[in-house]
Amino acid sequence: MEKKKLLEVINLETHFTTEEGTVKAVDNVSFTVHRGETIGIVGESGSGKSVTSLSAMRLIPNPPGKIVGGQILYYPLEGEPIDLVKLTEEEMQGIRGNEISMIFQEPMTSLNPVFTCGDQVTEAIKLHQNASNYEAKIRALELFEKVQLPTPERIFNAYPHQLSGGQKQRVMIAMAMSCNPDVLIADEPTTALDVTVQKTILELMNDLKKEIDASIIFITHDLGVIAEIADKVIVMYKGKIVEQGSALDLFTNPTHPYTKGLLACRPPLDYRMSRLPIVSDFMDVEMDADGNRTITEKEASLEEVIESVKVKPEATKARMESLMAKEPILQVKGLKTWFPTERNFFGKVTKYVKAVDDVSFDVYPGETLGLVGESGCGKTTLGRTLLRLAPAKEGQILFQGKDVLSLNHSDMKDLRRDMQIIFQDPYSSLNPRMTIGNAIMEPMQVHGILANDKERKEKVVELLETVSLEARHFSRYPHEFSGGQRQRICVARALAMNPKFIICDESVSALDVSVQAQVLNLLMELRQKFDFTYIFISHDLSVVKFMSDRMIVMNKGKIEEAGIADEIYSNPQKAYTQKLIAAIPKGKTEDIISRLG
Amino acid sequence: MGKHQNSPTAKAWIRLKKNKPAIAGLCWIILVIVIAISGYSIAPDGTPDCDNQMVRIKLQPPGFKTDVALIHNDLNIPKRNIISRMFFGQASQYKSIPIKHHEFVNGTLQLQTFDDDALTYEGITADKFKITQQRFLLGTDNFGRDVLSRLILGARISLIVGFIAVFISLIIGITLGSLAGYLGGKVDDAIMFLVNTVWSIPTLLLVFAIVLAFGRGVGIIFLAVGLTMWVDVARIVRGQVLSVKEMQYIEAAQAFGFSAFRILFKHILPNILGPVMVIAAANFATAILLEAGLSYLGFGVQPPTPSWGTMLNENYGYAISGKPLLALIPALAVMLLVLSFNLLGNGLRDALDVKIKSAS
Repeated sequence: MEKKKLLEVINLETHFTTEEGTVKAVDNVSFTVHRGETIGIVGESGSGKSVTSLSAMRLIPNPPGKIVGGQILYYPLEGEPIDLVKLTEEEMQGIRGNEISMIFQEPMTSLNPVFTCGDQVTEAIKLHQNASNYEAKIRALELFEKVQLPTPERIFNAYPHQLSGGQKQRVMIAMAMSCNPDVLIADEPTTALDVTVQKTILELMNDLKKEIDASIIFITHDLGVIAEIADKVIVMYKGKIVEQGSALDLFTNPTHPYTKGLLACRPPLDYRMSRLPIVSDFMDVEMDADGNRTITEKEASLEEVIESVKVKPEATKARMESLMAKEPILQVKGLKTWFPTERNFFGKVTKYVKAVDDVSFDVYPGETLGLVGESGCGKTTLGRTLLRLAPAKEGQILFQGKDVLSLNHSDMKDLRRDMQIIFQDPYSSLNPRMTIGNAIMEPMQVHGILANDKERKEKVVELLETVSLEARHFSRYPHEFSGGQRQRICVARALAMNPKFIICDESVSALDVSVQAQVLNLLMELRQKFDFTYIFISHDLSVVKFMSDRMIVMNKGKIEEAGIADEIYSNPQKAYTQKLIAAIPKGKTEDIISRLG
Repeated sequence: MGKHQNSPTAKAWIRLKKNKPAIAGLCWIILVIVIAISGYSIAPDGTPDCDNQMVRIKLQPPGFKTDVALIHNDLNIPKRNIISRMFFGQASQYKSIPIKHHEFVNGTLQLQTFDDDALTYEGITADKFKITQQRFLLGTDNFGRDVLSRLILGARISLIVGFIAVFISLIIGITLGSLAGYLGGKVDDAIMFLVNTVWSIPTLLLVFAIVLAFGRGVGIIFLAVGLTMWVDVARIVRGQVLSVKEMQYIEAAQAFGFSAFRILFKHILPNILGPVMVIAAANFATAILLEAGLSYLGFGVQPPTPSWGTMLNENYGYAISGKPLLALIPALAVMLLVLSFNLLGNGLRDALDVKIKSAS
């Protein structure tokens, strides 16, 4: 069967003008989408994958952005191909929604909160087709059925805040499909969702594609997701396409070192690694004065690199035994954190949200305890309660035998030296008006660690070097650093207190897979060097499994399952855990082969 | 210097410098400040309150020029040094009489005044009088006073009212607003109740009440204006504190065991300075307008002290009876200064990337 061309991007160049100069966000990019195909575009943030798709929609904000060269040819079913770059804004409006439509990452913000979901979908239908209110409603209900929303009538009359994240994304898909577009661009549509929801959305998109004969351009930073959905894959790096080919080829035989790096840096599920391979294991990048990059490939195959960091099961077992031999550093007994939601007339609480509900566990010195669960399961609240950042209602927290919940203010202040937390969002966890040197130094000043500021400064420099930053970064401000660097700064700040115990609350969730690998490796190194005890909280089971010795699965405020990480993964006891594990995109070649048939 | 180049403040300053209207406003404000400080030392009429009345030449147009006979008044007026003259003026030792002709023969001075009266001074020596030429760049008012001098001195009142009122409103507003935002709960409820109550009273009415309770005077105006404007500041600060409080670096600071005081002053307040500066600029403009309005209504600065508002009050009648400039000049001065503060405020809002409405 010969495939018909649908969209052809030829030598596309999109530039952004910033205060620092021109940024080539998309640099000479060419690819073709055929009818009925799913193209996956993968790359880390800043690789130009989103800008490429926005260029095709002609949605680049101008200024600062501008398409400066190239063609985007759209081939309609009948007639001559149309160059989208040359269309006027008015002509483009006819294409948008009708022929090419888009689904965005954030389902929470891409629906208008003051209109019902039904209103928004019928509006889209009426805008592009000559339909009466009644026809539009019928069509909308059909679409809701198609995207497998339960009780379409109810959803039609519901406001966005009444729906879950997955349901909102389904409404968005319904809206995008309302005019039977030829091309559906999905920009990280599942990144903000839990794995289990992600799985159902991916299945839905696969089903729909078959049904309506549309092509999908699927943009993501996660190669695992690509493996679940794409026929063809484009790998982008710093505005350029470094590799493109069929999904199967790419996963079985990646040629570009960057692709190898991306494949290798995902935490594996079926074996243990001492550290994760990173992109720089496969290539070196040098930048000359003009900002041109030269990539030199290293002599290392994917298999060799992975083999070199694998940990033998016997070593894991020995480590577990030596860990469990000690007295627990932290004991949690019957902990409850309930937040009041309703009060009666006299101010008495009548209803609670039970964020953490009767949770008990021990943590042994030197071990890493993983805490995994979907959003809203109470894992973050649990971490905060341990540090008394959220109030506990009942229960006991014993840290080195001391009852944390009954400590007075000054004892608690002393205890904070030993217990530290690293937060999720690297963009908001540093005060933007403080240089990072001062930010790291401040806790030492407050707690009177070291004699004077001169010694503390030296210590800060030492800490910066520990987390692979440099002394010259001392007087820089947070906005000058990338997400991964900021997370290192947060790690350095936590280290400044010489803690024994660190809670990592989704510390790598906001980072790209390749940067995530670097930060995870750093945390692993620090654990060996300083003998830390971690509680590692994440929604991503693969990350938790890589980091943790033991693992707790949480669901609705309660512990669902707890035990040795490898055992839980290989032999989950509870249905909830099984569902969670099944939903992880694994990126295995067998799965791709069976999917592509 | 490399150290501070990239600080958020330095970046905001670079952005502000690119905003031409804001910089024009800033330049005008600085110019007015310099003029106001120089005060008596640059005003043509250096007497206290610029109150040298020459009724014979009242209501002359801008650029008017005449000879003036200065006759020693035999009072012993101490001479002030240059600094205190600049700030408080120097009472004149002479009586000024605008004249057309003069004749001095044997100790008798005969003057033909500007309005054609004949005046004769006998037994006068040559060192007891002098004849000078005076120019009135902006003309004279109803009492024959130099308008330019009064305008220059009037800038002082406007700026001082602005500064003190904004200072008072910031002190009260930031204190109460940050307490309400940071502590929340009952404190928040109580403070917001106070804010809402004060807010519900019409501004002018409140100012009248304060003026009536404490008496008229410049000092009361400062207080009255300041006490009415703090509610805006408090509301904005509270809102900003509430949003910054949710940032993870605040939670991180708590996890490090920092005291509430330290978190508030080192981590929250520096991060809400942007909106506060924007509202301060807007309040400055409001304060100037309020003072002008109050003085116009006769509640503010009392004559003969010149302020732009009192000048309007004294001269608004002429706006429709052939001498519109007398009213227009102070009105224009108020307008330009208020506009400058608003332009600067808008510039600050853009430069600091503040995402709130600038003024209430």
